[in-house]
Amino acid sequence: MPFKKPPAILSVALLFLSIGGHAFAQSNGLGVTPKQSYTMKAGEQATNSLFLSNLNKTQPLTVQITVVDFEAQDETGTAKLLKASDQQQTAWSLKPYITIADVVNVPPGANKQVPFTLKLPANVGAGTYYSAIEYTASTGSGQQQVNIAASTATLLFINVPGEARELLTLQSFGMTNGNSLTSKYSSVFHAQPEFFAYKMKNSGNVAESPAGSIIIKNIFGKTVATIDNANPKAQIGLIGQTRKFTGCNPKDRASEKLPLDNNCTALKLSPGFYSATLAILYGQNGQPTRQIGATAHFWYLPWSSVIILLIVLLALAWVIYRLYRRMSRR
Amino acid sequence: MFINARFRPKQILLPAFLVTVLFFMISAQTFAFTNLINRSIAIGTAVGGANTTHTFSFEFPVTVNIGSLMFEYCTDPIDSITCVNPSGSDVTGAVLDSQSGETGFSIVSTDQNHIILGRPAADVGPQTNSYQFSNVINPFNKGPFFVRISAYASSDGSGSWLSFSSVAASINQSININAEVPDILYFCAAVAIPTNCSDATGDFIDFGTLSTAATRFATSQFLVGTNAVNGYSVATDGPTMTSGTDQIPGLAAPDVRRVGKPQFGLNLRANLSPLVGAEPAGGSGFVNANYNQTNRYAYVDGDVVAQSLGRSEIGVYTVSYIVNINSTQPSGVYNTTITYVCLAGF
Repeated sequence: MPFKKPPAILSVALLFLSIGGHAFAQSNGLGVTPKQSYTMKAGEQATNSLFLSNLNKTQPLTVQITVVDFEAQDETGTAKLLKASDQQQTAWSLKPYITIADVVNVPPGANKQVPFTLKLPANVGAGTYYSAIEYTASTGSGQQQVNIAASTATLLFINVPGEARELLTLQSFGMTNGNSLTSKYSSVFHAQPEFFAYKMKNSGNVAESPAGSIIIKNIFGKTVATIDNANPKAQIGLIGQTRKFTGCNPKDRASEKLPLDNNCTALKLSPGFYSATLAILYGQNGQPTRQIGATAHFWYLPWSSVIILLIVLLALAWVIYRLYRRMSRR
Repeated sequence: MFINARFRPKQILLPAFLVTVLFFMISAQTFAFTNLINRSIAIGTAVGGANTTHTFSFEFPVTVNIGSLMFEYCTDPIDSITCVNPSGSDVTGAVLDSQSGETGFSIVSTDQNHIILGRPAADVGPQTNSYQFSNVINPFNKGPFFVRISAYASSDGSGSWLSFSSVAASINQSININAEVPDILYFCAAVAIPTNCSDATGDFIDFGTLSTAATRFATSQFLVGTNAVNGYSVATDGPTMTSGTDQIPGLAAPDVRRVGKPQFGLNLRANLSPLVGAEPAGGSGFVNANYNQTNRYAYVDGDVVAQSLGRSEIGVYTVSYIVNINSTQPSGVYNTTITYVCLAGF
């Protein structure tokens, strides 16, 4: 691309680079353990390791490892690393308790176990502590470039048993019109409902993964359907987060199939009015089990039944009108 | 035959209204039972298939005459749902090690998922009651399970329960972790990824000479996939193009390219204006709204640009970048490092 000298009276920003950049001298392809949870008592020390794989079969991988706090990005299960230079350490940070290498080298195509040590003081409070172990692939940088870099992390959770503060508050519950990020609660369905959601505010100091069930009853109180697992993916509500938990009516109720997104099927309801009752339980091992319940109502009105209902109502109105006219003449 | 049929709407509407209200009352029932309070279960070892102890604690909310207690192991907590024993769980050989509060109980019967304690019926007092069982086999699989606790006037668990509640417990490690496929998150980023991370090439982007008369554009790619059930997210980490204290501003909201106006932005689509980029290929992830609009670009440091809500095969996303400047852009060498950060969902 020819260099165009700018006019003397104008200032033009220049950016010097060679097109496409050079071939990698280092890999930045990473395979990692995405999430890991442990239970440790106060005062305990434990050593374990994290899986790290070099996805590049020809180039070595050099990884810088950093312990970074994280929080929920929003009401979903998306994490947000807290990396601002003035970022305060979170109350649930693992930084004071974890020791891990700063740099790890992985040969081409190889896997490595990265050891780390967790040491909890005897006076650490009960609850959940979590941070991200971030792996940043080092591929070099220059002054006159826009560098592309890759980083990934293992989300590490440590549960410390004891008298922790556990408090989930239900914010909303209902059947939804889908399972995407933009799905909304609905009280009228023209197609068989399939998905549900509920939001919980976590005001405790334990990252909670609530468990429970949903029963669907018709207008006469008869149970017509059950959804045994109201948190099939074991989704977690982080400390301070208002989390939206989602799920669906499963096609296959085998435990290994429940978390799969392609295992959803529509309920088999007749047209009518229904209630969905949610029963959620949570509590750490040995701590009081807390229960939350809620009921949501909805109509299932396929368009065919709406049309039939309209016809019936119109016919009824016509009959009433005719009767009224006849009686008026008398 | 003449029928004197005087039409009085109130005679029809009022009964219809009352019947409707009655139907709603029937259908709107919630759980109307006497809950046990301050209830808990403590598992000695939360490992799948382990032979361990289970200790139950609870209080009765009111004084009732109790002769038996039933502990029923199920995959869900609601009494109106047919109880299914958690896979692998077995309490047939349970032994009552200790009891406190309401005592005098002995094991009346056990089967795979039931323990029934019985005694001569007596009034219960306001106190914490605790029952520890040993020789209990945990469920095999990692995850939650429930024990339904019910109290009866009879001495053998027969008849209707007087009090009922469930407790939740969790297995932290499956019985056979060596047979499990571990969760893995795969990720790489480069200027070009022709097939996989092994042939990824390029770690910097060249926009050439910036101009007030034409948009500069380029692409990079990232590859991501996971078998973790809560999927992944990919976010940007890095400032917009900067030279000392001068910046080419990132587009805070999606906008079209505007020649002669300072802009730095990206999207993950195939575009016509300019002709740059490609649609995501493979996998079951999706591009987030602000970066999913053809011919519109945005850049906010820290934004999630792509994610998947569940497991995803390997997918490749192509990032299209645009840069424009105006005539007053200070001269200098502008650069940045954009780190694509891939995290698991939770």
